[in-house]
Amino acid sequence: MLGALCALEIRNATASDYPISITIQASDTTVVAGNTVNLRLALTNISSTTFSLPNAIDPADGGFYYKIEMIGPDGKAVELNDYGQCLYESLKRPDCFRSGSRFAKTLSPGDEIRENIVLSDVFTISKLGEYIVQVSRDLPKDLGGFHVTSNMVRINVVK
Amino acid sequence: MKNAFQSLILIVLFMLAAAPSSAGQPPTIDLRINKITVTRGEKLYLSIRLINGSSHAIKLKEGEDSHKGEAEYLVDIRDLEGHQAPLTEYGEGIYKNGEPFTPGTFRATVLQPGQSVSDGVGVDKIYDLSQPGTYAIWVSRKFDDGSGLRFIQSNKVTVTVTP
Repeated sequence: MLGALCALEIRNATASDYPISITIQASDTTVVAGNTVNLRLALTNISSTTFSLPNAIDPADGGFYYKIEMIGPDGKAVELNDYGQCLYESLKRPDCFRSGSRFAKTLSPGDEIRENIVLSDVFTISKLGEYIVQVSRDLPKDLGGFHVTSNMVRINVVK
Repeated sequence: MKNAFQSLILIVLFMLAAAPSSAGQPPTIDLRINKITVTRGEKLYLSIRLINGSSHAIKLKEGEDSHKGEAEYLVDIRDLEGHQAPLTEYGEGIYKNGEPFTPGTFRATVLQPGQSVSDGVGVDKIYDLSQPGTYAIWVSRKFDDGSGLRFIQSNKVTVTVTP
């Protein structure tokens, strides 16, 4: 029994174990308050195998499967607005009706899904100053069940 | 005799240096334009052909859903003073960060030695060419040659916009 336990290799997953990478980029790193704040996201199959991943049918509406975290100039998490909650926290908001289809996208090694996320549609970005954004996604169990996080980007909101 | 031998060595070295090495040849982009003179507001169209003239396969990302040349190539257009023409609203959405970005699925495509891929781009859709003048246009694209990401730039073409 002890031998079996000792034989178990316990290790933490590292980024090199992940089958995907998520890279984000702000369309504008400086935005005038009230203007649209866009985030560009690229999900890449960095593994050597082909797999399917659930995806929103409309890339412009991308984000159903992502978790977006935004820290405001005061250092506190920025809350999703009503629309944002409906899009990204559907479990908490069963009252939201979301139209559209979802399908599984097959990704071969090196394939990439690029999406545009309109941050100002889902967050109330009212304070001036620097915001930090990071996106993550939980992968299904057959893909290791990893929680993959993106790089962080900074967006400065000015008057 | 010694001089003749040295000359022979030099000739051989020169010939070796000048011999084409397919392994060292990078892929090329052949850029053509549909017209060299257009009136303001007239359509301006680029034909792009990327040729893998190297001896090894290269990898490209090709748009799957709506295949657009502007999503894969960075199109640059400058006047005689080197100023970039202003982007249209559509162009700004794609080239804002200096690198093309459009939503969609991009497939990793392998281009074998000798293979080529062709695309087209409507320049007037991306850039505002309402200002008469002469412009130089070129395109560039990112690819993976197996040792990392590289950029390749096309030849330059010139267009004159008349009032």
